Amino acid sequence: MSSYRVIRLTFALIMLGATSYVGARRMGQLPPLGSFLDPAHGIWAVARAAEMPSESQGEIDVLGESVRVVYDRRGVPHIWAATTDDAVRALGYVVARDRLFQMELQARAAAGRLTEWFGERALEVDRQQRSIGLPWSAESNLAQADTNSEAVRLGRLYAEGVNSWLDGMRSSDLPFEYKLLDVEPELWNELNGILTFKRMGYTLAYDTHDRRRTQIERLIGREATDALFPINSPIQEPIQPARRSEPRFDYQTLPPPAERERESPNEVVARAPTPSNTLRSLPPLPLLQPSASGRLGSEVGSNNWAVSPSRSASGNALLSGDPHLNLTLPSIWYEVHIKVPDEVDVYGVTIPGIPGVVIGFNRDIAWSFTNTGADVLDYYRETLDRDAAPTRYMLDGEWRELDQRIEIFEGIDGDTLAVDTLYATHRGPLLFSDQGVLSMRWTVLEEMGSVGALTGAASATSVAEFQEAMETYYAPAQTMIVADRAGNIAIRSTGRFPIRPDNGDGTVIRDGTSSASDWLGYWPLDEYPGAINPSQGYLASANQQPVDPLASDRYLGVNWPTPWRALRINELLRNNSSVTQEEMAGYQTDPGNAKADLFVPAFLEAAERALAFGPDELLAEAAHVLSEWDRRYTKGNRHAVLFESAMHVLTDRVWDELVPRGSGQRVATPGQSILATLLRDPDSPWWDHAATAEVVETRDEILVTSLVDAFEQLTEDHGVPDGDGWKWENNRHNNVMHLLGFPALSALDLPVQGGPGNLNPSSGQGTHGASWRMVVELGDRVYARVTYPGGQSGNLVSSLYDNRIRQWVDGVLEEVFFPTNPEDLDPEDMLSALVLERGGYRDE
Amino acid sequence: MNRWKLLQLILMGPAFAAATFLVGWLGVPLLACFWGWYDRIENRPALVGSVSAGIGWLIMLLWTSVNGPVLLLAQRTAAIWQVPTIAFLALTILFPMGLAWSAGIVGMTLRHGLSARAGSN
Repeated sequence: MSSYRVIRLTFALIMLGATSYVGARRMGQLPPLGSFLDPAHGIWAVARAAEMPSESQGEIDVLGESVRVVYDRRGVPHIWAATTDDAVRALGYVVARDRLFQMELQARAAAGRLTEWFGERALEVDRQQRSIGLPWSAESNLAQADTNSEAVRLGRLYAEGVNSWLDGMRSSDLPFEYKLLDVEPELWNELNGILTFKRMGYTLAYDTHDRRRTQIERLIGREATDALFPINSPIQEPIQPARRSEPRFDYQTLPPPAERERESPNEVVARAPTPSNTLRSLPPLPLLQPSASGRLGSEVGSNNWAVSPSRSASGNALLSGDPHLNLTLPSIWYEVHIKVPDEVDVYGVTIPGIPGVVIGFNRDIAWSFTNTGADVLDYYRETLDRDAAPTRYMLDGEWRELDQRIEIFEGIDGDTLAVDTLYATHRGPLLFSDQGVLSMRWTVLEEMGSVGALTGAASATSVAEFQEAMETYYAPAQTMIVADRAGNIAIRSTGRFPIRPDNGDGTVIRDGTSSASDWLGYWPLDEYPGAINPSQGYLASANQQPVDPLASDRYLGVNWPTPWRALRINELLRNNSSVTQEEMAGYQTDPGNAKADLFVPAFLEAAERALAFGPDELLAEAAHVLSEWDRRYTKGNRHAVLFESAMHVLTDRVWDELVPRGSGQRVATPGQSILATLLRDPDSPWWDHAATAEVVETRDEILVTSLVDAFEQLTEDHGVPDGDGWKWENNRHNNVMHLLGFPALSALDLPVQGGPGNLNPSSGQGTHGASWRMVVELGDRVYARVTYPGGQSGNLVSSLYDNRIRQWVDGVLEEVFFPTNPEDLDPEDMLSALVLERGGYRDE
Repeated sequence: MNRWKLLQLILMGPAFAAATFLVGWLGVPLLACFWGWYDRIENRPALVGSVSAGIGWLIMLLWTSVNGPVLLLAQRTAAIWQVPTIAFLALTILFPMGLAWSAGIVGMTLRHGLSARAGSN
């Protein structure tokens, strides 16, 4: 026996074992290398599916008649079907073709099933999603729904389309992310669509303000809390026109903070991200770069506005919409055109997983949404029969059975990571918090989605028909703007708004032991905030308080965003009685800012008064730099950064009372409209900086020191003013993150025209912003221009993956193709054609 | 290298590509093991199998690059793993080579045993 051969064989066996092991098994975050590197079936195959074939065929088992799909050169599928049922099936098919991973990831996130893909790292976020009852309610809603209802039927048709794509999918069609994670796609079902809708509800309407408010009260007292986080905004530029030619300022003197010992951070819910905040603001699960994303900025939201023919240059109604959401690759939106003769001819964007167009237009109307931000979630303090493993809760002096549900969290290999028991009262899920046992009632949990309403909107031919279709819309509450070809414009905050007992206040945690605390019903439709064809000739919403409390003092919500964007768009529209669609598009990235218009003079006047007392070279220079600013957030602007830095310092100093002793973070930050209120009261105790116990500061001192300190810091960081380091584009970026948070698959450090409070807002980590921009002119011919940050394809090496990023950064909109017939599309504008037939799948 | 050996190399590359296409990455060690067991002429069958496996996967990569942006895919995947692009591409070639060589040695040993005369590597 040759010892050489023994050694060689031993080495070969070890090597064979090792290569086979890494070939077949995961190693940490690495997928099994064998199937991953396999050029025929692994990730390399993804390159082969980067671009669509010029012609292809697919089959859907239950299709009624063949469906023709033509992709234009922007990657938008135009679906021509004989029936709506077939169109919805085809929609599921084409969306899955481009965005399969995104669909499943979103549905899994809402279902609290990310651990099955990501293991224990996702356990906390999964627990949070399940604890607030999202999957529980989705399953209950579906189980209780009429199987012939529109929402269930559409979900089923959509799933048939998705699953037909899955049935015939080749290895090259399996998205990169599945291969990277070494997971297989699951069959789609109706529940996933409901979960996706509820996920949007979570993003837009999950507000824990009531619980946080209790903590704030411990710091500054009830009276000050009510003033700093008011039910009514001190600056009124409401969505429902108030028949004024300018905004109304309702400045009131703020009561001082209550004299009390500030509690330790352990006793206060700190502002640091809670699981809920983190999940909402981050891409679903950034894997390798968790710090690459940030929390939801307080100044972002959405805009929409419409101009009636009387104020448009063309004499046609104009409509603009730009919902602001997470900026992700692929985008949250997918653009599509669906035509069913004599039934529907709609163009717009859908959310992958939802069987319908959410925002868009047809031949007669156009519509868009902003988040209403209404308070649709309440907490109730409950009494249970025992602390551990409770079975009953007290209601009106009697014990009632708690509903229970076992939640099992599975790991990557199907192992059980955790088992939780959820409890619910008749109001909703129980939360065991540091504030006691609370039950939660939330409109988002009560209905399975509003897909049926969206379908009705798609085929509406007038403003009135659109509003009628939307009467059944439930949650999350949206402010819906609509315009039609006849020249009508309308807006309405739509959704279910609870009627509460007593004074209707939704800011308190109510007594759960009494049924008298329960909601009494929902607002009647005719009381929803809104307007139709107002005399001012335009309508606008930007997440501001919908109705001026002088017109209606009915409680709808609290702590409304400061209406900087609403002030700006109303100013632009008031001053232009001949609006063009080009100007509408320009407004979406308008560099002006109402916040700067209000605060810059305050800084400069304070500096002027201080300089009158004696020379201060640094202050003089800082004030000079600020005074030269045109108050515009253009990319090359070198002064905006000073103002934003000064505002940041100012905010820190003024609201130091909201920082618990020993903690470096505020419990909450009042809106900037409250700061604006404070400007009117130069000696308010809120100006006093707690860190300087021996001195009592006034307004001017805080304004001046904020400006000087910001100026000093910027000079230290970026050199002399007017250097390139001061350019806005070098200080403020947008970051469009890949869904898994990989920087290599993201579009990072994008320059942005806009800042906090701009119509094109950018704040925090720059991971939120205008997720879709649309301008529609409703003339004899519907003319629409759109864009979004990303591209139609979810394939990371497709030319359509991120091809729209540059135009989005530049504020450029593209005219859409809106052909009446497939033949109307110029061959040069066609990218690909797909024919869907009934039967088993075949492709190419 | 005689003509037979050259022909072997030319044919074995596509054979490994075909094996991968048909049965996935496990086709590489299976074919290499068989080749190590079968070959009676080549005195370095494991080495030939290893090189051929690398060539086979390279052929498939080249074919894929005709139909899609392979280099961009390599760049982005390498960036995710935080390794140089060339290292990721090299891994794609070295992985089947390692599999094939070790499986080839096993195949040779199965046929010839440890004490019998067999080709070297």
